[in-house]
Amino acid sequence: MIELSPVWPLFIGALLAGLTRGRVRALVMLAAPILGALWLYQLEPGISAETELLGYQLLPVRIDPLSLVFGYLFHLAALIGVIYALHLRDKMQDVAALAYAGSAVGAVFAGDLLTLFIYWELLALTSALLVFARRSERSLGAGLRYLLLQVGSGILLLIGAILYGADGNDLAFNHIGLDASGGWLIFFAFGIKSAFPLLHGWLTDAYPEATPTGTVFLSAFTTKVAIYALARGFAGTELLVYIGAVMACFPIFYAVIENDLRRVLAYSLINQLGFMVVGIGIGTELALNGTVAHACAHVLYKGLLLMSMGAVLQVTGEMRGSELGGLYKKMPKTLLLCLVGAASISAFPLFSGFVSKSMVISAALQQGHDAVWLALLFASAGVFHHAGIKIPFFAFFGRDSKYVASAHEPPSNMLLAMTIAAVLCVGIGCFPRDFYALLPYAVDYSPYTVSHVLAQLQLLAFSALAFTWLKLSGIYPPELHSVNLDADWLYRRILPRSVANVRALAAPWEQRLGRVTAAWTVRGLKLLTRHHGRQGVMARSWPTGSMVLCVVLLLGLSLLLYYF
Amino acid sequence: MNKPRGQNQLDNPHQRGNQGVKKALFDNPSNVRWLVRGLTALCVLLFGLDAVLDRHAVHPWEGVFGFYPLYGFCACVLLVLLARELRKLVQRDADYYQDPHRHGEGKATCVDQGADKGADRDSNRAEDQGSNWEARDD
Repeated sequence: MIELSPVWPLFIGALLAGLTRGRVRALVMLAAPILGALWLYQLEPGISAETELLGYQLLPVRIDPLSLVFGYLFHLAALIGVIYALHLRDKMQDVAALAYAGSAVGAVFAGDLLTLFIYWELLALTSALLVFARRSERSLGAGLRYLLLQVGSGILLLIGAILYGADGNDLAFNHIGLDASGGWLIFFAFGIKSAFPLLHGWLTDAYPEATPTGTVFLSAFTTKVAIYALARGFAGTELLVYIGAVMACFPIFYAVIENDLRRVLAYSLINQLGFMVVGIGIGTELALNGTVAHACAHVLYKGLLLMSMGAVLQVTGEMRGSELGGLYKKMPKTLLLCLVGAASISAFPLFSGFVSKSMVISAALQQGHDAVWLALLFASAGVFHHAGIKIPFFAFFGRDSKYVASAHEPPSNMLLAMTIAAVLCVGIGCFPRDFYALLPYAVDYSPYTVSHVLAQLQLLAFSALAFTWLKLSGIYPPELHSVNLDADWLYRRILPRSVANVRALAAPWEQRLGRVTAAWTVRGLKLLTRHHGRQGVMARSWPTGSMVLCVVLLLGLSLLLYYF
Repeated sequence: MNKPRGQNQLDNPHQRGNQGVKKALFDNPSNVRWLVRGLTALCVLLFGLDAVLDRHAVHPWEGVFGFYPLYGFCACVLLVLLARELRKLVQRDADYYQDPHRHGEGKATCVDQGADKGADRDSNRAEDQGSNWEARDD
């Protein structure tokens, strides 16, 4: 029955947020994710809604262990995001944020591909509003590009689903695989939202252009829905192992040279997605558990890092590493919370990243993916380098920036949201057994072995040593106020240029064609005027007698034909 | 080998536009030096633990003495060196997407936005004023 759908509390909350204001709206915003989670808790696992469309059975709500983990995670992320944004008085952002969270919840509980498509597109629309909400020309452009790619991903999904259904499959969203009819299209649709290499431009383009609070929501939902969809539809697809390894490695090079600190975090988001995609590609229960665990941990620590950078942006109005620095003097609490996020993403023992990332790396090693294992180790060292050290260093340490004198801690609601995320990061890291109990598969795995802790500490300490040495010796590339070409260059620069060049090349032909067309049009008009104009033969009124004559002639002709 | 250069930086704290702020923890160069020494000592200790602790190696390379520390260090150095080369390839002016005519490529039809146009254009250079933390980029 459709009324049991877990999306209703969030969607109704979004509706009410649009109708209320002030403290009432704040209450609605807080109540929606809490009530949503409670609503979800009392729903029975299994298929709780069925309907039929054009002979296909649709399952708008299917609750199983995999979707349930993501469902709770999204409610938690929405609550943290709402608390972080409580000081705002922006109806558009509030409504969009709750509707966005509702769409994400709807997508993970979608039991068929058509329902998934609807939520997939709703995700695109509602999240784009969070980019537009910054209300600058830059964010408008970035938001439009973002929307175009996201909607494009949905269209691929729809075409893929139609082909998949037309091949005799039912539309239930289970394992699809690349060999299925429409499988590649669905794979690419998921790939765009998962930020596969060369399809990732939208993420690093749009996320840093959203509002300080909007980016926190954005980082939590879209990509995690895509990871869920890949885990559901393409688990064990070996290609994903290699795609994930590339995703884990290539963004860290960009992150080192990127100046905008939220864009650095966007690159590290892709890097972390790479670990999850590798886990899906390996496809064993340990690897899939690792993927889900890492997605959960990642939502919290990436949210925490983005919240701390959002706080810096809120206070200083600046996000470029070249312009920031020295803020530890005025924002010690924000720094401390940022460091918890940095330790978590870097997978320090006792922090959340350690207990989740290690599952994927162990799975890669166990399955004999040696090169991928080395790539993931490289990515682990690299993520500490850019997200663990670079972010806190350039924002809070380094040289004193002009903002130090006027900087202060952000509003208390922002600090509270960051504290909740930080406590959860440490809690997951310290009590992994309780965390693992929430995962979809029962797997016996212990992250805190001597070998593992030592290996990770060695990797991280020597990464820090490398950063220190490179920084002190001047080899480390300085932060520059610049832009780095990435995949979005193709459609922001090359495509418009190509269109312009083709038009320029075709200009003489276009002119000639225009002249010929105009000449023929004039000639045609003259012809029409001659025959149908006021004096034209076709427009003339004829006497009745001539009509009778014509009829007689026709009848006579038919008689002759009949006679012979 | 690079110590004198880094040391020189550490001995020359640079504070600008910040007269109203009291001296903080890392304004004192010796604190930064202690931090660096502490990290170095930690690294030596962790490297030494490789010889003491018995590692359960799944992959043969894990058993090689100093594999993880050396891999971590080399990975980060390689990462930065390659990133420097990447920067030469992909870096453009901050307003690259906003004002294509500046690059002399003509016939630009780039449909893009022009926020912050001209803002901080002169800051398109290395921020190398020097501090306790970073060396001068010559």
